Amino acid sequence: MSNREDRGGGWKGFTGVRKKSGKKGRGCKSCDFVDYKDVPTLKRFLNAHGKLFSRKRSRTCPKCQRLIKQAVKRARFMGILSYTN
Amino acid sequence: MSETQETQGGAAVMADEETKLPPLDEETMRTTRLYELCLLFDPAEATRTWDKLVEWIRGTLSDRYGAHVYRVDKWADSRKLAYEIKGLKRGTYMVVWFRAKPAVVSDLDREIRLDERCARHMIVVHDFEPPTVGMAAEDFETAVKDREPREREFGGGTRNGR
Repeated sequence: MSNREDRGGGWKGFTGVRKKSGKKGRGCKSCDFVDYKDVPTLKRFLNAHGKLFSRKRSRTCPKCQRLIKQAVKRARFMGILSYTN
Repeated sequence: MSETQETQGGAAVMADEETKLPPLDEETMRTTRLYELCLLFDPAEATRTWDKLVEWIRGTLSDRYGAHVYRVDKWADSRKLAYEIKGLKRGTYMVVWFRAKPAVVSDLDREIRLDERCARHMIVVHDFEPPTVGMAAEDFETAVKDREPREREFGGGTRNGR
């Protein structure tokens, strides 16, 4: 693997290596609890058709995504959210 | 058994702001789990017989199943449903917080399902007391408005400065 110094040094550009970020996604607020009755919060993670966004789209960590998914499904069952539209 | 006071808006008023579900004795806390029961009723019937419904659910939980009922709240009154449930386009939600032994939950679920007044119900178990205990539907809407404006999650940048 070529060293930066060998390539001229000092260039702060893309080195061809994508770092793995350990930080939580920007969509994450709290991974402790997501209430199925909290409609305004849940609607942020649904598209216009009432479908859940993917983790890539919503930028949440896996734990948050699971909690949101569970809360949305509970809300749908109770008639608080729609399955479609 | 703790008393529940209901305001005009439906949200319960608690004297202690720190914990809305006061802890019980150690033996009870060890053998029981915290459950949340959400029930959906016809709004006309709920308005007419709300006290009887509360009495029914409290009696069922405490007398028949030995549960400790913390509070019974009206989460939403005549809320428009996202889809039609058993011919209902609007519904009144009741949320009950209680502690019970895990073995009685299945029987409780069956008994509520057999009751004709309840259009739909759901029992959820919690490991800890959630921060949203006692919040009504309008409280969630208000909490969103009071929240500080968040930065855009998607996109975020501009193209060509526009």
